[in-house]
Amino acid sequence: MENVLVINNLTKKFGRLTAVDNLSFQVQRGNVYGLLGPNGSGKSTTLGMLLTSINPTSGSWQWFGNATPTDALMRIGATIERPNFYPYLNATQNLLITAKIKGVDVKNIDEKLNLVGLLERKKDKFATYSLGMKQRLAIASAMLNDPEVLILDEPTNGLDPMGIIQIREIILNIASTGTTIILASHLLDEVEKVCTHVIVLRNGKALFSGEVSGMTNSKPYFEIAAPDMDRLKMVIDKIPGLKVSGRNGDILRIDAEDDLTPDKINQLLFDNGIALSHLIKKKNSLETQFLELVKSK
Amino acid sequence: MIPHHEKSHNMKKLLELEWLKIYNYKIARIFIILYCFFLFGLILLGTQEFQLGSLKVNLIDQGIFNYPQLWNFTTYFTALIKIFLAFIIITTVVNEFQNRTFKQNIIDGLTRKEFLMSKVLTIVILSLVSTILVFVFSLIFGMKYNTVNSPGYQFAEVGLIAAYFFKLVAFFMFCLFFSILIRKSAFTFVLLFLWWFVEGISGGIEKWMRISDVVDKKTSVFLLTDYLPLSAMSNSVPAPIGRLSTVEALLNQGNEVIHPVPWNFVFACLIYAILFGVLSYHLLKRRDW
Repeated sequence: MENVLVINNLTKKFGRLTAVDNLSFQVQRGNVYGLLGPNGSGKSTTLGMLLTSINPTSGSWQWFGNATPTDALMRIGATIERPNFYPYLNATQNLLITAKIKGVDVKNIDEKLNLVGLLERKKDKFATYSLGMKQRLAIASAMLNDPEVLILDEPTNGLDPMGIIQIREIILNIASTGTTIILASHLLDEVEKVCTHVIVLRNGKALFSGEVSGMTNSKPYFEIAAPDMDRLKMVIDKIPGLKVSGRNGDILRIDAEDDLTPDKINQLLFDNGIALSHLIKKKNSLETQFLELVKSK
Repeated sequence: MIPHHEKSHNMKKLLELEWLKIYNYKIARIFIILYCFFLFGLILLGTQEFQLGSLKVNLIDQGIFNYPQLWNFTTYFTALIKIFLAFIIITTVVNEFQNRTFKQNIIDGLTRKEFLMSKVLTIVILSLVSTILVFVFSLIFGMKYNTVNSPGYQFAEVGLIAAYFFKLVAFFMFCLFFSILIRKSAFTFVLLFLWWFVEGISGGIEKWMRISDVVDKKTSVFLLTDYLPLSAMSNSVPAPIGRLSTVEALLNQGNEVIHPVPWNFVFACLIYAILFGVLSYHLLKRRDW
């Protein structure tokens, strides 16, 4: 598939702090990418460099093969950190400024305001908007040039549940039209619900990069218990393919090879003279995996 | 090379942007209207009689509307209220950073150079409008109140109008640079005031160190501090107080009627305007936004 963005060894240092550390990844057309990481992991700095507002320390990137920076920006729609608009202008006037900069037909304004449900409030000043409305106006502004790539930075930050649902529906709606989206978020749940691909960032480094389903496809594990725990542990240590990986009170956590199903484990242990009082097959939730990923490296 | 028609198209885009940003900004609109009234009022003030203690002062009789010094009086006094326009420039530029719309403009595809050019265009247009107003008002008041009837005098010092224009442009570019540097309105004004204060002090020090030169030669002594930014702007339109007829008689400085326009200082203003533009560009480019 066609790469719309290729990043090579991108690095940004602020004094002694390395905000983005040798970051490389690609973005393919038509996919929805999540840039996932805790606050301060370098998401906004990365986007800032890609959008020319921050000067990189080293490294390079290419939009659309070999587009010039200005040409690339004309084909992108982006909002960074929080909605930035002229507070004394209304929605139409604010989008008129974006339209002039992007060289877009002003007829698009009403259409995009309609897309985000702000058409009725278009004559109201930006300063009178709720946070949710401001975020939606930011999306309308980013969509004004029907961008090939839409970049959204924490679009649901600080919103109430209703606002979050509205924004997510808008994003999914845009994604369904085939627009490539890069979504920065510290919310795993959001990335899981919206994105096809994910890049996990911590301290400016990419810990994981791939499909969201790839991140969820982890090995299952088992929780088991027996009346005689010491003997259980001894037996398990002898069986190849089984390994104790943790203990929580009177429950052992066991890692097993792929082909071991619960019934097979039960049989194996029974053959070794142990009757289980507890056996559950479990899978890591994306949340715990994310936390493990971020913690472990 | 950018083709010419694209350049002018770009210029139109930048002007439209600035128009959207400033015209709808209520404070800016009020200040521009106030400025135009004050400009007119200030010149109108010259037609009034004043009571200074027991002394009655009639500025028309003092010759302020006589050619050629009329140009000196109007440009000098109207330049005092340029702070109104400076206020508009500082607040609108600072707002771009406070509201982070500068950053959004950049992300949307406006280059740093275009952003700066849009502000420079605003400065040039505001200065030009002010200059034209002063020119027109000077002509009108001159027509009505001029009492000297010597051909060749009328436009003898009209060059001061050009000096006025460059003085304004230089001052506003100075304000633009500090707005970008500080990004806070109040601090920008404080710094402008501090700068003015420091220039005054250093000017005083230089004069004191060269006191003998200053006293001996009476006429122009080259002082380095005269060419500091605010001093150069101030010197490009000299103070006309000595040209009031009473003061002239008191000083008894001979009968030199036409004073030369201090083009050296006007040129310094132009250099400063360019310098502050270049420095502003480097600030915009170097910083992370």
